[in-house]
Amino acid sequence: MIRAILALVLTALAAAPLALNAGGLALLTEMLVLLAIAQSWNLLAGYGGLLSLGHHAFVATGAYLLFAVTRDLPVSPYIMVPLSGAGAALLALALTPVLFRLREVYFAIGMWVAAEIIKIVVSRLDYFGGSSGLPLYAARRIDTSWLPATAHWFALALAAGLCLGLWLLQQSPYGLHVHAMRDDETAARSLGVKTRRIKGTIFVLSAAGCGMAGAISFLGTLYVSPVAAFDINWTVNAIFICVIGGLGTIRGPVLGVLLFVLLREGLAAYPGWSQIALGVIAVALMLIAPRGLSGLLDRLLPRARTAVRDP
Amino acid sequence: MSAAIEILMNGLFLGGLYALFGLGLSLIFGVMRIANIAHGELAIAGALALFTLSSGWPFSPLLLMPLVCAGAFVFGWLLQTQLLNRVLSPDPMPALLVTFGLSVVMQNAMVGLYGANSRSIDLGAVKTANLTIAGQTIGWLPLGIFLLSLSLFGGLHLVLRKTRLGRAVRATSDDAETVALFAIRRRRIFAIAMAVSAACAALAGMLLASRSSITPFSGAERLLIAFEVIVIGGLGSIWASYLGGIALALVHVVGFYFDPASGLLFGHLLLLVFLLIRPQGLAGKVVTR
Repeated sequence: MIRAILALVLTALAAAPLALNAGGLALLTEMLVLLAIAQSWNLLAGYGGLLSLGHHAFVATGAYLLFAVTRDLPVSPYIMVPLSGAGAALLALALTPVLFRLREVYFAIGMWVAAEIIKIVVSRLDYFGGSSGLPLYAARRIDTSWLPATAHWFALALAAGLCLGLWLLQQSPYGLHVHAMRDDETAARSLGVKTRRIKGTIFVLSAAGCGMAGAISFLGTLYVSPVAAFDINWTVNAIFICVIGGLGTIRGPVLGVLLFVLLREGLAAYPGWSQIALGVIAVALMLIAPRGLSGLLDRLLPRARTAVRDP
Repeated sequence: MSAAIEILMNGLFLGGLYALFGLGLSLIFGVMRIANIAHGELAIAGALALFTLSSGWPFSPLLLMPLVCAGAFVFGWLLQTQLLNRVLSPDPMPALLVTFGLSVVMQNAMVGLYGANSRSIDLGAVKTANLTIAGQTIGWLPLGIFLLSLSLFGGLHLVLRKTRLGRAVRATSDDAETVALFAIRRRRIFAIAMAVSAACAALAGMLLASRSSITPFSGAERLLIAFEVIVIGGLGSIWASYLGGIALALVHVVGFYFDPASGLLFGHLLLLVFLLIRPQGLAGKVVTR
């Protein structure tokens, strides 16, 4: 039953470029990109227990790699999307020796400082267009009339792939190791769980997801600048989406994205108020329902509880 | 030569202000093991509150600063007792996420109320007054801020070392579980720490806005500075924060002298260097986690 519904939703989303106008398609693509970033952040925070305030660095790395490499080499921007994710993963791997000395608060803010450093360095390098950024030179080589639809399909594939990946993780023995590590790192290690390696793997995978999402998002806008790519709101929104929806669940961020876009579009006439509303909702949920909307749903639908693991 | 002395002086004076930003954060981190992501926003809110109060006020805004600090004290107390004490657990994530939500709400509310323009608090003649010692011109305002922050550190040192409350705070910082056995209500200690921390943040924000200028977006930058101060200084004593503040400010001032476009880059790099080679900080006995 659930599988049939999921297949139907996926088919509808895949067919969306045929039915929607340009604005509607852009919004849908943006939602899928937000979902992909939120699920990547969720993998690290909800499953790995590591709170990062600097994931916008990976979004920006993915975007900048796409723009810089396709300018210099005759690579198709489409092929560059997964490679941008790999680049962001490499960056994460390079950061682990420093960041993994830190825990909890120190990791969260250390990651933010790392993002700030990368932002300042990128906006000062002429190779990346300095503070004004880069246009997508490779747009000349592709048929841009298909660009919005292709970006949408990429975003759909990435978001669905991440959700599927989290589901597979929950089913696997490896997922049990991850779960044990998040709940009690010392106890898990004493039972032979290789916590350092797991954390590193999760961190790198989460960076790869954000990098691909960044590449897809800026592929659609044809232009990347430090201000837009290194916008901390990428991270802020991902956190709100996960916290409001339910950290450490798959459907949490899906619900979170829906509420996020609903609030933003509904309050579009009052700039800033959607962020205030999201902040208030997130704080209120942390107090009364720490498991987010997904947890509230479990209370209302007790039958569904068996399918969801405790966050 | 004189340029070098001037840079050193500027770094020293600015360091006093940085130390004050770090002090509030290190206090709550030391006592509760959580950070307040809204620390920078509290500072900016203090400055903006003073801005509103002092419009139409016929005397110097300096006289209103204690009032704003008292307001921030109450705000910090309420924040801890009404919000953070309810999500305390061995897992720091809920408390961290609550302060994170608060910081986003505060920042957007301040942008909505005051707009995105940069402003500064006008202290009148105090701002430009200066004195000359051995050929060096020193502004009264930076010097005054430096001395004020030094005396605050001294005062807090005495409270922590000599009073019953200070003993309770230090004991809670060492082991919050065990102090409960000695009839110390740790939630109350947390509330006092957060209240003092908020008052420090508001004062630092007001002094910053008198020295230079702020926008409602300056909070994030201030949080990072406060965080860097406590990592570079190290935890374990409040004087570590003072040392960290001065070290960070010197790096900023020197970096700015040689590369005016660097912004906070060299401070961030200094943080990375410390995390790599001296994670306990300059003076800390405790290894930062």
